[in-house]
Amino acid sequence: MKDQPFALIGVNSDELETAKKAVASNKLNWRSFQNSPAGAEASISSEWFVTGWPTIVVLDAEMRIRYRGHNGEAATKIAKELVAQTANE
Amino acid sequence: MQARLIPTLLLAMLFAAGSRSLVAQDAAEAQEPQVTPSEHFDALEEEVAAAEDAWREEQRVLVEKAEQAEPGESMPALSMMPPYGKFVPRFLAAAEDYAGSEDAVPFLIWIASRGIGADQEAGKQAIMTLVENHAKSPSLAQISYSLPQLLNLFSAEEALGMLGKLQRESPVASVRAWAVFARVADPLAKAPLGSDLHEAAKKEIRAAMQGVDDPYLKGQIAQGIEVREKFSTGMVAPDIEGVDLDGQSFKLSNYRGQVIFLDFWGDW
Repeated sequence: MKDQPFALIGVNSDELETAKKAVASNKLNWRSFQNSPAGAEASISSEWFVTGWPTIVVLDAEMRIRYRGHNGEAATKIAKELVAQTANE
Repeated sequence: MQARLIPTLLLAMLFAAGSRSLVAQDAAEAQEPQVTPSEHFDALEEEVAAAEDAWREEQRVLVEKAEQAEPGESMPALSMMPPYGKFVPRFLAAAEDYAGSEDAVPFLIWIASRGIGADQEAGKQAIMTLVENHAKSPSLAQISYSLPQLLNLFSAEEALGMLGKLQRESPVASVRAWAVFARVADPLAKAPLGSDLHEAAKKEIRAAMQGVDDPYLKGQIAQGIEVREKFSTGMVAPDIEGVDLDGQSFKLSNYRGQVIFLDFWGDW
């Protein structure tokens, strides 16, 4: 979905080295937050009350939540529809 | 020579026979269960563990065979769980032996948690006995997380009665909190946000959670409160300010104007 109004952002809970290895070996090119970087007061997953993994949250162009759950296919479908709408606006 | 030998042999034989019967008597005495209830439980658990190991090995072999089978060849079915059913009567018998005392509790808990998959009636009976006779047992903490299941196993009236009793009588805060959660989980998850029903459920579970540190229960409760109040469809997500894997700072709101697919991933 290059050149589309779409951003894939990760929140990664692994140890930093494990996460980097995963990125390298899977050739992942999306940007990820460290879930709990050294010195952080609270992890992102705890602030977002994420308790099951993987969890996907789809946000529209105004950062409104359009999907939150564990179903990758459902999330992708909603994201595609939103991208089509956003691109047409 | 001969004459002297015979009585000696006879004596030896008598002695051998006598000592054999003594040994037999010792063995009979040793078989009388002079074991403590906890030794009794450990011995049964050991047998269960051995049966679990055998079951795992059996399943492994079956899976291997299935992978090598020709298409269309019929295969014995895999079993979904270790043969707990055959142990249920023995745990029941032990619970019966110690009926009414704290010693019965571990056996009842075993039936309620593991035996129940094989013998639901026995499991339900064990749960009823635990609540009826052992509501004050600290050991109930071991099965507190399954209290929400009571609503699936029993009629609403029966389940609410048992949960209420545990809430009133258990000395363990986490057992009381789980008992409350089991009762209010449905309104927490489904009652409209801001409704009296949702607010009452929230208030009750928060009061019950005072001094309880159970991360799993906290997570369950958050799904019904914070996740619904802050992360329902249509709500504006909070921003994230963080660092990427290279240590570079960035914000989620940098991507405002685009559709954001936020993926919590990793080896959790």
